[in-house]
Amino acid sequence: MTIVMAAIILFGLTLIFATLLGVAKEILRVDEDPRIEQINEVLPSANCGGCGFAGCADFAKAVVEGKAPCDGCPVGGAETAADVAAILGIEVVQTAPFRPIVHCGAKTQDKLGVVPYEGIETCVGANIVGVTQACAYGCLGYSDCVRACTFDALHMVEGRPVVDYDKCTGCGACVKACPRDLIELIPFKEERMLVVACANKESAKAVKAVCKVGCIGCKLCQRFAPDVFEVPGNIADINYEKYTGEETEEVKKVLDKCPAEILLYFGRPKLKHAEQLAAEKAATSRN
Amino acid sequence: MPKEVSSSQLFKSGILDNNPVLVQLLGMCPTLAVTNSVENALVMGGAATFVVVMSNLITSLLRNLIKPHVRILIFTLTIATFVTIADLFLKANLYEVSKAIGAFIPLIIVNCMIICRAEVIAIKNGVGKSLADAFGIGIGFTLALLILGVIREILGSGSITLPGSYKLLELPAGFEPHAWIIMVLPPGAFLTLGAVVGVVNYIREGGTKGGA
Repeated sequence: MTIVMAAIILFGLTLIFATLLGVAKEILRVDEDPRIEQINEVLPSANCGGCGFAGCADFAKAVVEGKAPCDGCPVGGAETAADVAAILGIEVVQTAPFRPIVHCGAKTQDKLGVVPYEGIETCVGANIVGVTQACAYGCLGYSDCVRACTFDALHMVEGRPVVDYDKCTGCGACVKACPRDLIELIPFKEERMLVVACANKESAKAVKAVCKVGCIGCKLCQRFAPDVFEVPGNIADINYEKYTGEETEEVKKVLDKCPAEILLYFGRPKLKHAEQLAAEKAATSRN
Repeated sequence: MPKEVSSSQLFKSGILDNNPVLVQLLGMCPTLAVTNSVENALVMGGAATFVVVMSNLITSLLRNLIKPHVRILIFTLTIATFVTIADLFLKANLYEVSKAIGAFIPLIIVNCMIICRAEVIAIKNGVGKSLADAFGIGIGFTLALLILGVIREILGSGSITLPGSYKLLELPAGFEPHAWIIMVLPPGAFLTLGAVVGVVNYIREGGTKGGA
């Protein structure tokens, strides 16, 4: 009997309180800007934090308050930016999506002076030890970036990270994970972009001593295509503001003449590049 | 506590002899967290007072229906309901303060000061006494928070700002609030609380009651 009474009282109380709360919620209602909810719906809901906010809902709020640009979501890209802009009633300027590239193209067999490392198997750990390989700039190959990726878009292939651009959303988690700052987000104006896959700032002799493929800073590329390439020190650099992703005659010449093997294409091969890829494959298989 | 105490005694004891913060040291979480300004302290005190009054009222009304075994469940249910209402009210009417003291309003639910009043007073006494006790405790809590808030804000920022950015009190220009910035930061809460509780204990031990 006590149990039944207790249950009835508790049930009755719950009912009364629930009604009370319902009434209170109606009276003390706070109207939120409906655009926040609308924007939240067109966002990818990955909550990856690539925009710099705590999550998609936080970003939606910031956009409405004018604290974030409407194309601030790197994952959604141009499509989401257009949707967000439509909700806000503004126009968005089409921008190229930012995707990561890796400034080290040395495969396992290209790296010299590699010594056995038995510490914690992370790049951060190996980077502190500092002597696991001769090159002090190159990829350590312990997959910190692969683990940082929440989209399964990075994989270790032959000792270096390779981006799966079909899965990559450009959130930038891998950029932050690399202790040697080898990963950079660049605007992919084309489906595939030319990249200087080396970060070694030493002179030619020092580079040759630690890597079979590293950039020796010969400045040939700067001479043939001064619009695209700059060689400020001992390492070539591509000016992504001027480089459109188009393979001009000059760029072709550079690719032909470059004595190192560090000018690599990153990205999805498009149809028009397929032929070229086949030729490249044929060339490598001959070697 | 003796069995027969009058309503006015209960009311007074909540403010002085049994002050929840300065004597019983209950409700430390909001005491330390939201007393960095007078405004926050006032709102926190008001919200807690509202909740303790409503919880004591409901509990004492239902005291003959509540089975001892499920009383904690009912206390919690009651307290949670009114805390939610207080939270909704602050979000609707005092948005800036609500943002500043954020999570500490919902945390009133687990404030032992309130469940203690329901357990010690409201479940055994009539509505009149329970309400007197609740108001006493609520005002005592608010006063204690206010003392801490006044000390911390005046030292930490050099002035006291009331709601509506009206400056109640300003220290002379020679005073450097930057040097005292620790007072509005978390360590300042511990320092101030320690000092105030020390003073209160000194007065109580000295036999002169009601000095705090």
